[in-house]
Amino acid sequence: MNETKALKKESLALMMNEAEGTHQTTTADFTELYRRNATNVFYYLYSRVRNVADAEDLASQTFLTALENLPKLRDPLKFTPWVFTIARNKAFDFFRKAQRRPTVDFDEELDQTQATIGELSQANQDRLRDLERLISRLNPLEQEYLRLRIVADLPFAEIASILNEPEIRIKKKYYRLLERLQAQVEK
Amino acid sequence: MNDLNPFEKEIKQTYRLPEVNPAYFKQLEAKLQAKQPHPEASARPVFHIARGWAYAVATLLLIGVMVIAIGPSKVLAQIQAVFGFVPNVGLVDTSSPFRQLAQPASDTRDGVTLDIQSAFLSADGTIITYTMSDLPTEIKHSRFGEPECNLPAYLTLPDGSRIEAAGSSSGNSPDGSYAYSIRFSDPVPVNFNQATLVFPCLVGTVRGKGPEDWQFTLIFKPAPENLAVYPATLIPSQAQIENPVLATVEPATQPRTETGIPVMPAMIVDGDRQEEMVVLSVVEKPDSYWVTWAYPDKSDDGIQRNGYLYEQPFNPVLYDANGTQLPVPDHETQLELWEYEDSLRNQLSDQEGLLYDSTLHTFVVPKSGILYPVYARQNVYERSFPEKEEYVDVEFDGSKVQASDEPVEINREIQIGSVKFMLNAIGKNQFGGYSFLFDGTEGNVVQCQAGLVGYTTNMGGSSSFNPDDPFHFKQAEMYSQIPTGMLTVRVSQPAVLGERISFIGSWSPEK
Repeated sequence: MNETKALKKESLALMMNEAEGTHQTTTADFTELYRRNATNVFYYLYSRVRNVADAEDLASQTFLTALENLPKLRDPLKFTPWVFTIARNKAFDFFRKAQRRPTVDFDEELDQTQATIGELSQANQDRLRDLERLISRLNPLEQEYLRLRIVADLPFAEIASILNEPEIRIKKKYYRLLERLQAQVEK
Repeated sequence: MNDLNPFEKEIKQTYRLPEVNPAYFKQLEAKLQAKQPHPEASARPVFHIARGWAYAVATLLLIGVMVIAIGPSKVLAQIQAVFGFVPNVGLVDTSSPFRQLAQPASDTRDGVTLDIQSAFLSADGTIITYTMSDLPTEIKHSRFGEPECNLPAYLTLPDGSRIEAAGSSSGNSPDGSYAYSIRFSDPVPVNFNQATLVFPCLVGTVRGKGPEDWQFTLIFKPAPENLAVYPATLIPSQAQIENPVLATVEPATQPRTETGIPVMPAMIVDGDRQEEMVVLSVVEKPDSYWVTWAYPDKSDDGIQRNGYLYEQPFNPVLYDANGTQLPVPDHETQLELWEYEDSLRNQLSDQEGLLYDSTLHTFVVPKSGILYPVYARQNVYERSFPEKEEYVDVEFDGSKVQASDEPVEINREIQIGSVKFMLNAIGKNQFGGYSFLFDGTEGNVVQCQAGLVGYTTNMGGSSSFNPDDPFHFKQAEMYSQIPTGMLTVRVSQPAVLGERISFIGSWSPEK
C-alpha cells in the first residue's frame, strides 16, 4: 500500500497526548484544541444558522463555554465530540430563544451565492438546487448526519459519540441516506 | 479530514460555506487565552466522576433495584409488547386497533394542490402521507440564498393540544408518485377521531410566499380488518441468554440425527470457535420470514484508540439444514429490510440497544424449498489488549524523517510484556507529523498506540483493518508545529488479533 493511499485510509480522530501518564488538559492544550476545531465548529454553526455574524457569535459562545467547563471534561480524548455537543446546544438555544428557524440572511448571502453558482453550468445549478431542496426536507437527524460528516468533517466515531448512537449504525444510515439522495437527485 | 466522494462534495456545495475570517479567529483565540486559568486551576481532582458516569451508575442501580423488587421475569414482561409489521409503515404496536384516514383530503391554494392521501394511527404514533402539485415559479424556492420554508407541519386535537412532528421524509411511494410523509411519535388518543393538520408553510417554497397556516381537517376511522399486518415477534434477548440453544450443539456432517432432529452441518462453523447469536425478532410474511439475529457487541473503554473487541470484516451468511447457502436479498428487499431494522431498533430496550444495535442483521428465510432449521453465521475476529499499561520508547531522528520522501527504516523489535511486534519504519505524513509503520506478524498485532514523548499531538489516525494483510498497520500523529531532531516515540496498547469466532444462530418456524 503506498503512502498516499494508506494516509487516506487514516481516520483522523482528535487525540491528545498523555502528559506524564495523566489526562489533564492544560491551557496550552486548549489553545491547540481551539485551533484544531475552530473552523469546523464555525462551519457547522454556519450550516445551522446560515448567517456569518450569528455563526461567529455562537462559535465564540461555544469555545468560551468549553473553556469554562474544561475541568469537567474527564477524558480529553473526547474533546472534539464534547465541543460539538456544546455547539449543537448553542444552536438549539439560538433557535429556541428567538423562536427562529434555520434561515438564510438573504442580502448577505446573495452575492456569494451568485458568485458560487455562476461558475456552474445551468444543469449543475439545477441539480444543486434540487439537492439543496431534498436536503432541507430530510428529517432533523438526517440533516445532522450530513452536517457533522460533510460540513464539520468529523469521523464516524466522533459523530457516534456526539449523537450517542453506535458508529456502525450511523455509518449504515449515512450511506443509505447518500444513496437515497443520489437516487432522488438523479431521477 | 474526511475523504469526500464527488456526491458528498456536491452536498457540501449546497451549504455555501463562506470563507473564514482569520481576524475573527485570532480575536477569539486572544479572548480565550485571556480567560484561561492557570494550569493548576484546571487540573481535575484525582477522584472525579463525570456526570455521564454518574447517570450511568444511577441507571444501573435503578435497573438493579427493579430486578430485585419485581424479579427478572417481570422486568422482561415490562418490555414485551405486541407488534406487527405494516409495509411502508414499519414495526408498530398492535395493542390498540389501527386507524386510518376516513377519506383523503384535498385543497388548492395559491396554485398549489395538496392531497392528504393517507394516515396511519397506531398506539405508538401516526404517519401521514401527502402529495403536492408542482409549485408555481413565483413561490418556489429556486435560488441559493433565499430563505426557504422549513417549518414542520403539526397536528392539533379537538381539545386544543398539539402534536409535533418527529420526522419527515419524501420519496417515491409504492404507486410511483412522489410523496411526503410526516411521522408523529405521540399517538392521537383513541377518544379523538378527528385532528387538524396544519402546514405553517410548504416545503420547497420561499419563506413568506405561498400558502401559510394551511389547515386540513382529518377524520379517522378504524383501519380495515384485511389490512396487511404481518405478525412480528420481538424476543427478549435476556431469555435467550439464560437458555442458550446452541451451547450443546456439535457440528455434524449429517443433516439429520437418528431422532430426525436436524443438526448443524459441519461446514457452517468455519471459525476457530463458536458462540451464540440470538434471534431478536421474527416477522412472518406470506412467503418468507424476516428473522433478525444479533450478537453482543463488546469494547474496552480503557483503550485510547479503537477499543472494540471484535473485528468484523466478514458478511453474515445464512444456511439451511442441508448446508445450502441461501441467496442474499435483491436491492429493493434489502432497502425494506434496512427500514425494518430501523423500526426494530426503535423498539429495543436501552440495554438491548447497547448490546445489539450495531450487530443486528435481518435475513429473509423462505417458507418453502429449504430444510429447517436455518443457521445464520457471522464470523468475526476477536481482539484483545493483553498489555494496557506497559510501553516501549524508541528514539529516532525526526529531522531525517522529515527530510526524506520515503519512510526511514527503523526495524526495531517492540516487546510489550508478552507481545512482540516490529516498528518497521517512520515516515512524514501530509498532515504535518509522523506515520509509524508496524509489522505485527509475530505477535498477531493489528493496532497500537504511538505518540511522541514530550509533544502534544491532538490529531491522530490509524490505517483501517485490512483482512488481506491485517498485521501491517500504520499509526499517524500530527502536530501544529512538527517536532524535529532526536525524538522518542512511545508505543503502547497493542491490539492482538485472536481467534476467528463464528457467531451462529439457528431458527425454525416451530421454535
